[in-house]
Amino acid sequence: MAASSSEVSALLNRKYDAGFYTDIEQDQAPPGLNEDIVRLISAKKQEPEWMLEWRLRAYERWLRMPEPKWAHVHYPPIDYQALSYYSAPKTTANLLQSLDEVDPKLLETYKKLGIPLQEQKMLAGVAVDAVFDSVSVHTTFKDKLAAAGVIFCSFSEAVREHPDLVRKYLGSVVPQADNYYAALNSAVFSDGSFVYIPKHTRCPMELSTYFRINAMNTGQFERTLVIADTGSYVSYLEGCTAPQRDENQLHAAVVELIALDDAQIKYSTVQNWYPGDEQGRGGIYNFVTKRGDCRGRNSKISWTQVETGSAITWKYPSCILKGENSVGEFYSVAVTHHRQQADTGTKMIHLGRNTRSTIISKGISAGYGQNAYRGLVRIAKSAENARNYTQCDSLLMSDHCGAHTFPYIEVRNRTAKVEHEATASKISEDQLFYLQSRGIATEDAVNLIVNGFCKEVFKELPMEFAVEAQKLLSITLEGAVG
Amino acid sequence: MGLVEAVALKLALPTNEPATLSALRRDALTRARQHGLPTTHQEDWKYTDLAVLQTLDFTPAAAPRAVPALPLVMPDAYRITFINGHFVARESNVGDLQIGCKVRTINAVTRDEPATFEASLRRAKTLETKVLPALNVAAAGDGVIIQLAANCVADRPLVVTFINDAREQATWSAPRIIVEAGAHSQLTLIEIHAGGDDAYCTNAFTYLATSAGAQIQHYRITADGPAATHLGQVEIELGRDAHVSNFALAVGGRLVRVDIDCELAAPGASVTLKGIFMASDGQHVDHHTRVDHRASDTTSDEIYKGIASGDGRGVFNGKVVAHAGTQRIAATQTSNNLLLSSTAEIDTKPELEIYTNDIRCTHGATLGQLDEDALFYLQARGIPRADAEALTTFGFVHALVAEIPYPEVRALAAKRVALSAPALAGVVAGLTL
Repeated sequence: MAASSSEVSALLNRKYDAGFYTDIEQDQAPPGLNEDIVRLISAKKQEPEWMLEWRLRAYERWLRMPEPKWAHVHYPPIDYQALSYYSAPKTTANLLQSLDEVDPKLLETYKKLGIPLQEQKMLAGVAVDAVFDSVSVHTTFKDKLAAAGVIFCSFSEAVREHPDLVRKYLGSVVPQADNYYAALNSAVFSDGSFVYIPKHTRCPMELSTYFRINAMNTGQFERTLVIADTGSYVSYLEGCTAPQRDENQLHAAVVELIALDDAQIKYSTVQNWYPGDEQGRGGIYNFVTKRGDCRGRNSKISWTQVETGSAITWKYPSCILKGENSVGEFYSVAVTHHRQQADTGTKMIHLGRNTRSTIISKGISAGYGQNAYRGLVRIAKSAENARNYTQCDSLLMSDHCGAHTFPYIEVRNRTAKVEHEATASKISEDQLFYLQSRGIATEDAVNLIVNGFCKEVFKELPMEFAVEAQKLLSITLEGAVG
Repeated sequence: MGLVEAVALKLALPTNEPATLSALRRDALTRARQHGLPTTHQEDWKYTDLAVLQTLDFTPAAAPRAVPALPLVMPDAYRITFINGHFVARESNVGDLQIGCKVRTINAVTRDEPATFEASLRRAKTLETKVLPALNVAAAGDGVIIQLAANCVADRPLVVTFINDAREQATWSAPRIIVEAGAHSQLTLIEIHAGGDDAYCTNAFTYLATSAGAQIQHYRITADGPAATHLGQVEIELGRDAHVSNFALAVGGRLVRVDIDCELAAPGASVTLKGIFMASDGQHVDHHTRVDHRASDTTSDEIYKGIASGDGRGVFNGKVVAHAGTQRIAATQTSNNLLLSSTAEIDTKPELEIYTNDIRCTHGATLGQLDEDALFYLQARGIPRADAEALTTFGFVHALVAEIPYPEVRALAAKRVALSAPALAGVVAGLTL
C-alpha cells in the first residue's frame, strides 16, 4: 500500500505542475464591494426582502469592523475592493467535453483517491450536464431524504422554500458581526447548504457536500446551516477534495450547527484546497468560521477535520455546550508543507452542567510550513462538573518549519476538571531505524509513522474519508523527509 | 495624576545626574507615553486590567520615619534594605561579599560611575520593548547593582528587601536590581517585596546577566500589602553553560503582575523557572514567563502551581520559543492549578512556538479541585474534613516549597502560603517544615 501511495503522490505532484486551470467564461460582478453588489447578489439569488436586509445589516457592520491581525500567519494585505463577490460559470463551451479527453493518468489518480465519478468530472473541468449534476443526482437522494422528512438543499433554495426555518436559525450561532470574515460572509454569501433533520429521525445516509460542489463554483463565500431537531442524528461530510483552480483566493465560509435535545451532529471535513506552489505563490486563504451550538440537553457535536490544503488555514470549529450533559468533540489533523500556514484549533465553551469536551489535535509541519494550534477551553460559572481533556501533538519534519501551541484555559467553576497536554518533537530516529532495519524504505517508514501519529483522528472519520485522508496525507508530505 | 504622569513629574525634577542618563530616562518616558499603559486589548494583558494605574493619584513615597519589621530575617545572609525606595544603611550588611564582588546602590553608581550604569541599562532588552520597565527607567528609583568578578562564588545568600511603609495613599516606587555575573561566578539572590496596608504601587525591575558558566539562584517573593499593586519585570540573560534558577512566590498584593523573560543566548545555557501563586479573596495574580531558546543545546524547565480561592483570580502564561537554526532544544513546562471556591477563576495559557525540528518540548496544564480519594483517605484516619482539605491543599504546593534549601525562606513561604487561604491557617501552623 505504501508503495502505491508513493505512485499516487508522484502523479498528484505532477498534476500541480501541469496545472489544469481552465479558463471558464464567467458571469461576474465587477470587482469591489458596496451596497449595490450586495443588492446584486441578493437579486441574482431572487431572495426575499428580509434576506437582503439581513445582508445589508451585515455589510454595514462589516464596514465598521477592523480586520483581525492576531493569527500566527503572514500574508500581504487583502484588497477587498479588488475582489469580485459574485461569479458564476456562464458557458461550458471551453470545457472538455467528456472524461475521455482527460489525461488518463489523472483519472487513475482520482480512482486511487476514491473520488466519485461525478466529482472526477468536476475536478478535471469536464463539462458535465449541469442539469444532470445538480438536479437529477440531487433528486435521486432527495426522494429518499424527503421520505425521512430530511430537508437537504442549497441555501438559496432554503431561503425560498423554508424561510421560517432559515429566519429562525440563521445567524443564531454565528451572529452577523461575530467577526470580520463572518460579517463579510453574511453580506455576500453566494450559496451553501441547508440541512434540517426532523425530530427523532436518524438521517438515512451520510450527507455530503458532493451535491454542493457545483454551486460552490459560483463563489468563495458559502454558508452552511445544519439543524438537528430533538432526538435526531446526522453525519455531514464536507470534502474539498479538489485543488481549486483559482489562485490566492479568499475563502470565507460560515458553518452553523444547531443540536437540540438529544440530537447529534457529526461534521467531518477533508480540506484540500489548492495550497500554492513550493515557493508559496497562489493558494487559497481559508478563513472560515465554524461553530456548533449544543442547545439541547444530552446533545452532541463532533468536529473532525483533516486540513492538508490551503495556503493559509485560519479556523476554529467550536462548540458552545449550553445544554445539560452536552458533549463537544474536536479531532483535527493539520498538515502544512512548503510555505503553507495554519492557525487552527477549537473553542469549547462550557455553559451547561455536566458538559464534556475532548480535543485531539495533531499538527504536522514540513518544509517551511507553519502550523499553530490555538484553542480555548472556557468553563463558565454555571458549568458544574464540566470536564475537558485536550491533547495536542506536533510533529516537525524539517528544520525550517514551525509548530506552535496557544492553548487558552479559562476556568470559573471549581468543580471543573481540565487537562491539557502538548508535545512537540520530530520523528524518532529509533522508530525510523526499527522500521528500516526490517526492510521498510525510509519514505514508507515515515508514512507509517505519520499515519500512526494521526490514527486517533482518522478513526473518527467515516470509512471512505479515512482512506482518502490517509492518501492525501502521504501526498502532501511527499518528499518532506530528506 | 496617573502613574505615567507621576513618573514624568519626577523626571522633570532637577538632578545632578549626567546629561546622557537624563536623556536615557527621557527617551524611556517618551516610549512609555507613545505606547501608553497596556490595555486588555493587548494579548499579553488580556486577563489583567491596569486601569488602577490611571485612576489613583500617585505621589512618590516619602523617606521612611522608622524601620518596620523585616519580612525575612536570615542571620547568616548578606542583606540590603530599601524602605519607600530609600536605601537604609543600618539594615544593610554586605560585609565579605565585597571580596571579588562589587555591591553598590544604584544612586551611588549613578553618581560615581554613570557610564557603567548606563551600559547595564542599555543591555536590558525589555527596557526597550515593554512599557512598564521603560517607566522604571524613567522613574530612576534606587536599587542595587551587583557585579561579580569571574570565579567569584558568594559564600552566603544576599537578601534584598524592598518595603513600602509610606502610610499615605497611592505612593509609588520603582526599585531595581542589576546583577552582572562574571564567568563561573555564583550567587544566591533573594529579592523580597513587602509593605503596609496602603494602596501603593511598586514597579520593579530585575536584570540578571550571566557570563559563561555563571550560576544564579534567584528567589523572588512578592509579599505585598493587601491593597498594593505590584508590577515586576525580571529579565534573565544566559551565557554559555550558564544556569539560572528562578523561584517566584506570590503571596500578597491586590494586583500582582510579574513578567519573567529569559534569553538562552549561548549553547549549554539552562534555566529553571518555578512558581507558586496564591490568588485569594480580592486578589488578581498574573505571571507571564517567556523563554527564548536562541542557541542550540539549551534547556528550560518550568513548573508553576497556583491556588485561587475566594473571588481571587490567578493567571499564568508561559511561553517557550525555540528559534530557527537552533538544534537539540529541551523544554518542559507544567502549570498545575487548584480552584478552591466557586467564585475564583484561573486562566492559564502554556504556549509553545517552535521554528526548528530537533527538539523535545512538552507542556501540560491541569486545573481541578482536591482529590476526593485523598480527602477520604485522610478522613478515614480520623482527620476532620476541614483539616484534610487544608492538608491536601498545602500538599499541592508543598513539593515546591520543600525544595527551597534555606530554612528561613522555606518557613516564610510556608507561612505566607498558609495565611493566604483561610482554610489553610490553623492546620499548617502546627506543621514542622
